[in-house]
Amino acid sequence: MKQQIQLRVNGEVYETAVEPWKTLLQVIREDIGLTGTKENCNMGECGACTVLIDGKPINSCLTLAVEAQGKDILTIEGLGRDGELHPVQQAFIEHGAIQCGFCTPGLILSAKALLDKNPQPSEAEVRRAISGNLCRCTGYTKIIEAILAASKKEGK
Amino acid sequence: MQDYTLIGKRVPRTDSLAKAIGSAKYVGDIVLPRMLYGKILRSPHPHAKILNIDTSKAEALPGVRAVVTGKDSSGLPYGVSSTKLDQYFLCSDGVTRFVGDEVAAVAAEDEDIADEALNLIDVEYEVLPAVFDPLKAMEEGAPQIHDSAQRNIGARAFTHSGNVDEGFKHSDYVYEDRFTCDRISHVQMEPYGALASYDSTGKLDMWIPSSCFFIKRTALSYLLKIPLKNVRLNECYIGGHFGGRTDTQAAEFCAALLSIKAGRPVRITYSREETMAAAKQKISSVIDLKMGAKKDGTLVAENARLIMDGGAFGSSWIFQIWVPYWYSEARYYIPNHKYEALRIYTNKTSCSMQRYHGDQLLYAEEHMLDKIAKDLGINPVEIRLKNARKAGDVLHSKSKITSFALSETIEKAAAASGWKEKRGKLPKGHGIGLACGVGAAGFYMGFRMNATAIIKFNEDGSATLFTGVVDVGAGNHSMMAQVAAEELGILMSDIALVCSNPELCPPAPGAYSMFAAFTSAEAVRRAAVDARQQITRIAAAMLDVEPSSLELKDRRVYVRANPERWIPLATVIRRAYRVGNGIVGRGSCTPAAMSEAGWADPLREKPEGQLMATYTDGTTVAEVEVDEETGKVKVNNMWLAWDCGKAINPMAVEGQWEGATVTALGETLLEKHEWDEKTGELVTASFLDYKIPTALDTPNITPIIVETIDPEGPYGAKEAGLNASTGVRGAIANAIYDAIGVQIKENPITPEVILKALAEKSEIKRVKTGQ
Amino acid sequence: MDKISYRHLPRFDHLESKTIEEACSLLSEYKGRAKVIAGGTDLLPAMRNQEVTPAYIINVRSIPNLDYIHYTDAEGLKIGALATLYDIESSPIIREKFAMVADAASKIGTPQVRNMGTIGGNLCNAAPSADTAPPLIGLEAKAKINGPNGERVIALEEFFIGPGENALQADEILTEIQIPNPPPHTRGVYLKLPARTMVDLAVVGVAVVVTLDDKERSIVDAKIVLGAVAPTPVRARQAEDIIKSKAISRELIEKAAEAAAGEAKPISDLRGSASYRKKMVNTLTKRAIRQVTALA
Repeated sequence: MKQQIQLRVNGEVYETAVEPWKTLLQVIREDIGLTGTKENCNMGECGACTVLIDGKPINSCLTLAVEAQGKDILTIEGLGRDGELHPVQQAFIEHGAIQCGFCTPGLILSAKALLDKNPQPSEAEVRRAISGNLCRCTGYTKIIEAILAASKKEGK
Repeated sequence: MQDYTLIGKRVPRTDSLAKAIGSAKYVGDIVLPRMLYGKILRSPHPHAKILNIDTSKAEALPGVRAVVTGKDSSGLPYGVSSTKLDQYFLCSDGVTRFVGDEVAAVAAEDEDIADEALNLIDVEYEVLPAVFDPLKAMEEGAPQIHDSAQRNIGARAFTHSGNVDEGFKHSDYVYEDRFTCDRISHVQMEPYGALASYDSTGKLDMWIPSSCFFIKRTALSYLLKIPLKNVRLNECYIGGHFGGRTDTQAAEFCAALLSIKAGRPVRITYSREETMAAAKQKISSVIDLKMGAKKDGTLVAENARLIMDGGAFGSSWIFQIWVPYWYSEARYYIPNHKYEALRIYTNKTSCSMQRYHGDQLLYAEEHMLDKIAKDLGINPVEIRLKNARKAGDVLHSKSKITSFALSETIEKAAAASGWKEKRGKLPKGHGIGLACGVGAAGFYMGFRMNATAIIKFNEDGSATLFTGVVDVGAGNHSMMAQVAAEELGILMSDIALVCSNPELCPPAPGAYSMFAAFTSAEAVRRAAVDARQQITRIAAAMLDVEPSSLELKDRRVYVRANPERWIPLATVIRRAYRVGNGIVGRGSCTPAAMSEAGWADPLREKPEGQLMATYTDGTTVAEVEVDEETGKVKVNNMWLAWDCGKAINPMAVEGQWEGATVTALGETLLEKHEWDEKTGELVTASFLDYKIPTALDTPNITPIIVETIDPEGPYGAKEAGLNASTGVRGAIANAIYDAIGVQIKENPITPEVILKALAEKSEIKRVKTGQ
Repeated sequence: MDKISYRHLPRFDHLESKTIEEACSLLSEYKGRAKVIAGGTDLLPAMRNQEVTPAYIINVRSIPNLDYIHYTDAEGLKIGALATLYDIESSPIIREKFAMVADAASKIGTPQVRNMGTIGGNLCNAAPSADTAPPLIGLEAKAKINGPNGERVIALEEFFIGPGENALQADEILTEIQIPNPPPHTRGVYLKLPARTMVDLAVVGVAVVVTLDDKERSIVDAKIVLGAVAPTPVRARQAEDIIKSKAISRELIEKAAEAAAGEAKPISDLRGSASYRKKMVNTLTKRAIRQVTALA
């Protein structure tokens, strides 16, 4: 039985009818059509589906869409609007932290959430913050470099 | 050292922006109008005959639009090489050969209905005995997996140079032992899948995360009996390959068949478990290794015998059985060298190309070499310098090494890591070890080795570059733009890239066999140079000078000796259309002197000729800390010095090597596939059980680029892919040896393996001791 | 493995509960066919693997004010069952007064999972390797349980019945964890040996809580709790008896560690063999006792 729900994604309200067993990940990608958030393990083990809910990184594959109402959801498409990239996005590009790019959206959001909370993290804190985002291409080296570089630029 | 504007500079990649903002579309992101969702029904048995498939209930389920089985396929067998066609998609030969083998497929209006439909397909199996262990599979009376393979031996490589028996007689010290390296997965982050859209005019559009669009098009055309030009593989973003996405797989085959039957687009996206269990894996090896040396450390003889578990199908068996030897012979000079590799069929997931073939054998040799060094009282660095191959060497296979710098990489890696200060002086439980690796650009692939590129221009001076190269994530597309921009004196952002699609682009090998730089980038360079020559001819007439006196830079054509005289490139482009044929640059490249000899008869013993286009080489150093009570190994630092010829984009090169090093570290310490002995099911099919390194598991990695400027590669570039990690296993094992005095003969090196080695005081066996 | 092509969840009906009473009454109504969802980080993966297929899922995260962390000197710490693992990991009062609990929470899963998963969920899931269990049991925590007939409080040690089995009746929910203030000179540590990478389930987990005498030279009281080496978290009582009321010494610690290893009943699985786990109980117990008694 489909349920009418309202989701606030990247500051915009979307209304759609979904079955209770649909995850937030499925609704973001299929109903709303934002495919930047990736579907991979569907078990909360890889972080490719990471979005921010009320500023906190969560696995959208383990979140039921019907339970995500009334919250502020941020996907990768919600960053870098009006022609300006978020410092983390800019740093990822400048430091070669992106290879195949599949893990990138989730990683950028985890990094943004970290810097919002802890603007000057240590390398150990960066590693910990991204420990729930798996990457096979980069070995994480330049990702960590990019996040630390972005933290130096942020200073807001 | 030549000074370039863009080559050799750390430039951001052209594809990074789309990926950073989430607009890059991978196959699973693409939605077409009226698209259906496909699912594959997989065999629950490791070995069985299919007696009957009843799809009627599934077909009757509302929302199901097509169901296909082996009956719907052409029945043609598939193989990566036409010399071994042993795979029948949808088990059209009536046999399933591993748990996960595809038996039927459905397409429905949504995925929930497709899931339900799978449940409604009734398959009647006659279960056959299965075999999972390659050594057992070779025994008399073992279940036969393919009619053509006696004792399940699918392929054999054999070569013998010199005389190893004599060699061991003349060796002062001889060592012999067995090493086992377990099965692993590539673990591309993007789950596998395919999107097919067949229209009734006979055209099949496909989107597949493939490393090689041209080869795949040929395979699909053959399997589906659709003319080559009607099979259109569209460019899409790809989430990793690492050797596992060259083979044609069930996803694209089934998606195509379903689309043809339903008359609508069909997208199949594998789950992560399907990607682990039913896509491709990497072989495991049992290696029996014997090495002999003189007491001054000179290597005299080696006899290596590898039993490789290849799984249910042959895949790229030629590379799998031969490349370990071709890398090994290019690393140290061993006058008497015997090698045999058998690739065995088992009822498990089949194994494809690996990003760095042969790292398992290279590890065994490197670990044994450290034991030799220890017994002879020779520093591990010295023993390697003593035996290292050099530029100009002609190998046993008669392949010639042109540019090479193994010795230099040994010295650079040792220096950067502080080897002298640390070796033998680290605190208890800490160790430092090194190992050398070898790679190469390119296997012989006949006409497929050719890469061709075309550049055309817009009236504002910007350009479009057409190249068949594929970017699976490593940065190949950006590299092409970088090369073209360098030669044409324009910005990388002035170039639009049209890549990979065989309908639009001239051919290229794609993103495998390490040819992207060596052939594709070289073809682009030649195309840009060709365009530049056409441009300077037109401009010379306009400026009334000789064409050779002109330079292209900053979107201008200017007189070198008198830079105030220049015209905009845009003006020349427009002029060219007025006075002649316009400017269209064309370049093509096939590696010179590559020999067919190795491939003419894949069953031939001792193939000879130039078997690789050119060789790369390097050294890895690892610093580890071992907790002798828990057995946990922590790798704190790694250094990697690799000769890539020339780093076209050093930032991209470093990224490749860092990634390769971490993956190899994962395979050495953490990753292992396990099968249920009784059911043949893959037990480690999820990220929970098959663990790849997270950001908390990786060391500091220092990549050191060594440039030998290859005579043939573009700007001297050879390859900068994943061969750089061929030394990682050995370096970690050797560092553990230094830390706790025991040697490890099985990979992955889990804590329990460490504790076992400590309890047994394990070291590689010496069978002959000199005076 | 039967269904490796499935990517998504099976079908179910979703019900919201706004109060504890409503949750219990829904559980009662759909007895045996319903499961409670809090963070979803254990339930949804299990459902995706078709290990559990409830017809009804009852959301308890919609119950307000169940995620509190309250401390008083008199009554100690009270944690609402819906407090997330991140809340616990980062709570200043828990880090200050019950550091081993914050530490254990911080070792679970990934940052994303800790943002979603709750302490109640971690305990109710009753995995033998649940990381919050050994430290809480070591601190003599109690579980407050609400049902249609009211509430009851039991020792957390009695909350675990078997792997995946807890002491809740079909119509009850866990609502609060209570941790009394430990006596002065009490120190605790939780050591976890993850399987392979840092974000793993535990191969072995050991929590040691000791109360020392005024001079901090002997152990007045000790709790040693082992995780992942038995069907439930278990107290290593023989090991505790060895070090209780004794002066601290290396030999004593080693003897206790050996006894703890003997009290572990691990199985062999993908994460480790039984014999390795027993050895690791010994090693971790030894290290944990040394750490809390400040013996190098």
